[in-house]
Amino acid sequence: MTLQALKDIFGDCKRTDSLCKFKTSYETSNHPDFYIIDDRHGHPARISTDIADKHLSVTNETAKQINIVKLDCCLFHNTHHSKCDCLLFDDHKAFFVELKDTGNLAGRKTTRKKAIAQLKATIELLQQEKIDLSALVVEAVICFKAINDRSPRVSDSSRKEEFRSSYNVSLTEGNSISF
Amino acid sequence: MTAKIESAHSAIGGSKQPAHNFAGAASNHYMESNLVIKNFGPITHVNLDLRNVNVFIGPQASGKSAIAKIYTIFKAPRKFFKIEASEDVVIENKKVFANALEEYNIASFLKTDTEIGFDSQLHEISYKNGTIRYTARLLKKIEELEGLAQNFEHNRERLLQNITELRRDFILFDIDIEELLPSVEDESILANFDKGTCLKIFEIIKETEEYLSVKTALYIPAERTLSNIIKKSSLNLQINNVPIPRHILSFGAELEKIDVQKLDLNFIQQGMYFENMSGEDRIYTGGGHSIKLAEAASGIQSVLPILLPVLAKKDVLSHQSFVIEEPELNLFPLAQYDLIQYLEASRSDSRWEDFGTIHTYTTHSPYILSALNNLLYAYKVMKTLSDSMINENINTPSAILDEIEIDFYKKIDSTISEIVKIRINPTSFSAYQIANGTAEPIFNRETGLIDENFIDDASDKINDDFDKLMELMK
Repeated sequence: MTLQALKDIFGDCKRTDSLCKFKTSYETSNHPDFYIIDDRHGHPARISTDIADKHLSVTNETAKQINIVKLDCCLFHNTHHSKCDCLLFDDHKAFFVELKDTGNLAGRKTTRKKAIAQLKATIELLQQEKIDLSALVVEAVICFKAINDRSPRVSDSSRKEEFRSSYNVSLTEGNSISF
Repeated sequence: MTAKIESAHSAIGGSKQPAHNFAGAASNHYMESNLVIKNFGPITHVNLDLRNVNVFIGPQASGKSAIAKIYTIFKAPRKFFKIEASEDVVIENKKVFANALEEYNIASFLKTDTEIGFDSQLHEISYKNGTIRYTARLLKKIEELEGLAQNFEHNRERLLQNITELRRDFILFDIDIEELLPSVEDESILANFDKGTCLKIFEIIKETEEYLSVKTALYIPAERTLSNIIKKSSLNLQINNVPIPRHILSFGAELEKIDVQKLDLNFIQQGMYFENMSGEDRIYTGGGHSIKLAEAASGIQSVLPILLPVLAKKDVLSHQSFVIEEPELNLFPLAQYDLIQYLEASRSDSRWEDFGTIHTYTTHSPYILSALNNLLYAYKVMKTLSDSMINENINTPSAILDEIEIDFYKKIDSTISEIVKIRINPTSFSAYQIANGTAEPIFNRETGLIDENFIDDASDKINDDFDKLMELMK
């Protein structure tokens, strides 16, 4: 999977009102530490190196090139099935990421269900377009903004197993990923 | 007896499969029963598919303990309702039913429109409008066969076929009649099968039926720490009508009968063990110190009344059933995890009505549910990896494949055993959440794991409140 391969299939940003610094859904970073932020509702995820902004922390110790594709409200905009916020990948790993603001009145349970639906929709779309992820270790990450210790959720096991058996993808909930 | 145990375990590990129950339908790979309760206490309507391991969760006063108690009573109706062994019985006496409920302190839950039905391979029993109706299915079957035996020569083959089916459903019965009727498929078996042998076989299955029909589940109550204290006085307390619920006194009496001298409690604390010294229960810690059980920590007092009866029955060659209320009481989360592993490792999974153990748990603990999930998943891992290995070696000659399978199984079994002590077959498992008078299954048969449930909702609610507080900091 490469950025170009994705571009050939899905094209580029579908917004006419993009406020992104780079008017494209496809970015790269080789910064050892950077952050993905869920800016505002209806806007795509943003990449930043400012720790004050952190929602999802990305550790890239060897400072290699990490590919970032902004999906929801960018590459896919106003589509019937909402997609997850972004995809980050290199030659070995891929992370489908859905960022959720915990200020959301709906609560974590409802928000998590929506996040899972968005992650599934994205993974299934890539599978339908025959994008080969088999060479990569793939993870689906639900990232709630508030970091706090959680008591065990029993049904996490069942969700994880569903993602593993259906997509060969690990489902996790957290605020950091690393390459 | 040892040979019998070995024979039973060998049969269980081997290819013997119960083919048909005596009602003629294909049987499953687990002990199965169905319980329906309407209008009883906080229960409006529940319909439960019960298996070898059953779990009920729910808020307090939701009725999960009531369900567990009804299950205990209806599993052995001849003991609780003093029903004579007979095919079909009707008791039109509400008091008989109320007395049984009183044993478990749930008599006040009975309403005029209460309906309860319990259905297993052994019997079918219902309560409605003050009337108990009971059908001893196995007994009915035996009586049909006795009828056929009246014209033995004409029905010899059919009788042999029915006995073969009974042997598949009742493993201990199968072992008991082995000498009378060797289970080899041979023309000479038919020739040597005479009426005398047939009638002797019927007597043995009748004994099995009688035993199973009065064999109650042991109800281990949440108040079990009290049972530790009162067990020596249970009889006196009952005689003197001391207002302690009867099921707690009964459990105390059961505890008193247990003859387990020593029990390892390492999973609670390194070096800890229980020992009965000259009739006194003592807890020993590392370094040789000991204290009376009554002075021990609440966690120990809570866990011993679970472990002692389970351990006492572990190698007994029969069907066992335990209903355990809130196993997590007074236990640190890791101890809860270890306890579930210990309990499930002591349980024999079984497809036969006369052998194996049923565990029914009520719980509030996410750790208990997560522990069970781990044991369920361990089974799935074992099965998935074994199936993969077989597929990869599909063209290997069978003699070599057998060796590969054995080596592989040993290796993967050893690896999994380093992580968890035992595995639970998902087909043997059921789980429900009880709330607002109804029951909702929370076990996902596709993933083979416990799914969305109220206990997770509680975690989410706690986290949601934290998030709201964080918002105020912005």
